[in-house]
Amino acid sequence: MASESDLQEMFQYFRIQKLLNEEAKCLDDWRLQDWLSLYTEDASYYVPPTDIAAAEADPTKHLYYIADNRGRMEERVTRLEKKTCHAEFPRSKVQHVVSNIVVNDSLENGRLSVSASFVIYRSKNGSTDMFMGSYLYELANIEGQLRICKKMCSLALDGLRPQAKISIIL
Amino acid sequence: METPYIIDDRDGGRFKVARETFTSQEVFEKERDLIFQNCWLYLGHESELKEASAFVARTVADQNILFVRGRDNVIRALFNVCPHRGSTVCREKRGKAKTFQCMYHGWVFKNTGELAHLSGENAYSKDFKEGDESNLRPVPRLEQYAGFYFICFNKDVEPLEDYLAGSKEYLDVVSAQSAQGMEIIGGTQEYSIQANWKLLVENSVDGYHAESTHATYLDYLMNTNGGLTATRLAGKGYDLGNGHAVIEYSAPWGRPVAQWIPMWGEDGKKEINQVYDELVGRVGAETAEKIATKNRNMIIFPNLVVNDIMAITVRTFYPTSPNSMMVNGFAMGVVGESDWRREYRLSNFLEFIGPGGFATPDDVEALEQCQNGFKSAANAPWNDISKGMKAAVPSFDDELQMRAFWREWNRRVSEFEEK
Ligand code: FES
Ligand SMILES: [Fe+2]
Repeated sequence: MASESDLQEMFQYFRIQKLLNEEAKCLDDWRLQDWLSLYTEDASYYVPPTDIAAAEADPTKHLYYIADNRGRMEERVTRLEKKTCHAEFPRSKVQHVVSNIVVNDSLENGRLSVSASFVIYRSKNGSTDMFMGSYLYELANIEGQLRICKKMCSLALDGLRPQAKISIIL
Repeated sequence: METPYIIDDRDGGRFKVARETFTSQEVFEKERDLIFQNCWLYLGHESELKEASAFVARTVADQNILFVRGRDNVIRALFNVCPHRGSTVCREKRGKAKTFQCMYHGWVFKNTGELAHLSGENAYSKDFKEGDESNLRPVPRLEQYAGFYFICFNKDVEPLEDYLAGSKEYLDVVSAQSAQGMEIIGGTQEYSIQANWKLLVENSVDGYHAESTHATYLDYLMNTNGGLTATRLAGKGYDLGNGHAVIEYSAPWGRPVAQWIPMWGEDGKKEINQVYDELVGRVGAETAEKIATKNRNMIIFPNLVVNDIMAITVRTFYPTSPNSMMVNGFAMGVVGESDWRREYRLSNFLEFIGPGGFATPDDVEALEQCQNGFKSAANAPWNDISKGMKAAVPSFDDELQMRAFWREWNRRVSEFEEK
């Protein structure tokens, strides 16, 4: 028989998995406002450079690919919703595959640290780019809902060759 | 190619470039032999080698180069190729090392390039190690200006300072931003674009495309600065000689040296005022104003771009085929600047520049769409870059810069034909 704590752990894992899947689905469907609603008001979204070790990278000291606070995440969505966002007009087809979810130790601020693996396909103009790597999330319970405070996407790539651009949200 | 590469009709005010120059394998090979073998090419910045025995392994025009400060404190550019049987010697991108060992048969080189040790030494002739031939080969020429190191594969090339011509003055403007010196900030943006490299040259100094290509970025600036700002895009273009060119202009974005925008708040205003005052004290009011409030996009022929815009980017690239290129983008900042300024500099950079910015992805889209269009080169053969050709004072959004590049390009590539 599963113990009470096993059940709790399973339930928590289930909630995390549900949230991550929901996020992937929002992004694949280009429902970007819904994507934003999964994030807290003080959220951040990062894609560090591929030539600095993940543990050392710091967005205030190193040149990232993306280092957004909530304000800039909103602006990113605003941009992606315009026809004048030429890189994504017409929009590419996007498929996020998320797996290998691991719940790390809880953080000091009471947030959950969660990592997962991703593979993302972006198809447009007859060619397909792939992005792969790992997510590191900080999650928090906000009024009974699990929400994302921070998402870091570490690319398991040697530079962006041949992808050239991260015009979608990873 | 059947047609000329360019049509330069100064009287008629028409400048045309054959689209085949972006697609032809023959042109690609001529560029490799006549441009990338003969021109000064950017290798790296002195700030990347702060201490003795620091090294960076880099690819420049398809050749693997070791940029290294030796144990003797001398900066060198060595071919990262084993003199024994040709393996790449150093396979790490950067670090510190007193010696480099080739993985294949284990030859060990000092970081000055000298062969230090080889196993089975007594099977070689006595003076084998003494000769130059068993050392890592230096690149024929290495020279620097204002901390920017360049290499040339042709030993007979003119001195770097002569080659740089009018672009020196603009490298000085970058250096003059700080009394403590400038540095490359860690983290490289490394990417490829499926387009001919010359499209990125043109794009890097193209003042004409901003309002259309970067509409969403300009919207973003308006949005985040409460309707901003009196500063319009306006300025001039300059031919700097030898194929180098620059545009210099005012723009609505914030500059860490030193143009404040409302988004930076009152704390930011204090910081920016301090930076400005220090500049005025050090270089005088007139130069300070130029450094602080003007933006500069510069191409140093053939493949170095130094853009001093909302942040400073140093970008170099080279062709891997007629329709693809490798790009390396770096951010440059002031040595020892405040945490606030470094953070906003990086933030400013990312907003606009690079694969995840609000602007560069649209540039990449434009370049790839042009390359796509060039598939019709046989039927729709010419690009037009005549804008402002008859203007007395070329505007920053004219196309003088590109014509300066193309004239030099044409001179170098056509020389071959005359020989
Ligand atoms: S190839 Fe380097 S030691 Fe043989
Ligand atoms: Fe652009």
